Amino acid sequence: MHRIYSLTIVLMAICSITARAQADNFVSTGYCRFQQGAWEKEWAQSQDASFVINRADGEIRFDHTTWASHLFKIENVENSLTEEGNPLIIYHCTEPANGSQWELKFNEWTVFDEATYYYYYQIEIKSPSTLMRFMTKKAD
Amino acid sequence: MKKILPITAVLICLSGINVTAQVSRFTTTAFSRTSLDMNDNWKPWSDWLPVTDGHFLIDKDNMKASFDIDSWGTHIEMRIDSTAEGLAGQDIPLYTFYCNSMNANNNQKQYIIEILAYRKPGVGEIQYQYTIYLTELYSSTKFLARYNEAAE
Repeated sequence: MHRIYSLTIVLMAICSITARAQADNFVSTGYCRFQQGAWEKEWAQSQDASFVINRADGEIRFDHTTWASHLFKIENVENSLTEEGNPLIIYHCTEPANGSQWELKFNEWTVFDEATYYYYYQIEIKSPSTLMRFMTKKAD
Repeated sequence: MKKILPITAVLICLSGINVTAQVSRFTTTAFSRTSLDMNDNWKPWSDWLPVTDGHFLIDKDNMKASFDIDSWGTHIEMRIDSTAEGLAGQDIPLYTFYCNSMNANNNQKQYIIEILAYRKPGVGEIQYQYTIYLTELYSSTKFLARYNEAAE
C-alpha cells in the first residue's frame, strides 16, 4: 500500500512537471489601448485578463472576466526585437471558431527596485478590430 | 557619527546626482501604488506598471518642486519647506523633501518626496536609477526614474 502511494506521488509529480513545461499561464496586472493612432500613455490596473501559451500543442487561450474567451491556433512563430532591443516573440494565430487572424506579441519587462527584480511579461494582442497591450505576470 | 557623515558624503557623490546642481529633473519609467487600509496600515504595493511621461523637478535654489504626468492629468506645484539627506538600507543615499502644494485654489496638501539613488546591477556601464516616493496623507506612489543629465 505504501509503495502504491509513493508511486502515485511520483507519477503525479512527473505529470505536473510535464504539464507546466507545456503551458505558461499569465494573469494581467494592467492594460493600455491603442486609440486614435497612438498608444495610451496611461496604464490601467486590471487583473481581468489571463493567457495560457501552450507552444507544445500550438495553442494560446485568452480569457477575460467580461469578454468572450478566445482559443487560438498558432500558425507560426517569429523571433524579433523590441524598440529597446529586447527579445520579442510574435505569434501569428488563427481563431478556428471563426477563422479570424490574430497576432500576439510577447516580451519580458523587468523592473529593478532598490534590491529586487520583478519580472513581468507584456502581451500585445491584435485582432481584426482591437489593438491593446496587457502587462502580465506568471500565474502561480 | 563622525564616520557616518563622510560615508554619506561619498555615497551622495557617487549616487550620480550632481550635488551642486540646484535644479534636478527626473523622468519616470514605472510606478506602483499603496494606500492606508481601515486600520491605518499601508496595503501591499501594487504591481509595477509602465509610466513614461512623468516628470519631477526639484529646484533647491527656489525651494520649489513640481510633479507632472500629462496622461494622468496630474500637475502639482509644491513649496519645499525642509529637506534632509541620509542613508536608507544597504547604504543607499536618501534625499527627503517635505513639501506643501501651491495650488491656485488655496487647498494646500502636504507631500513628502523621497528620492533613493542606487546602482542598477547587471548593467555594463555605471548606471544609476532612482526610486521616487510621492507620499500624501493616505496614499503613496513610488516611481522608478532616470536623472535627466542634459537638464542640469
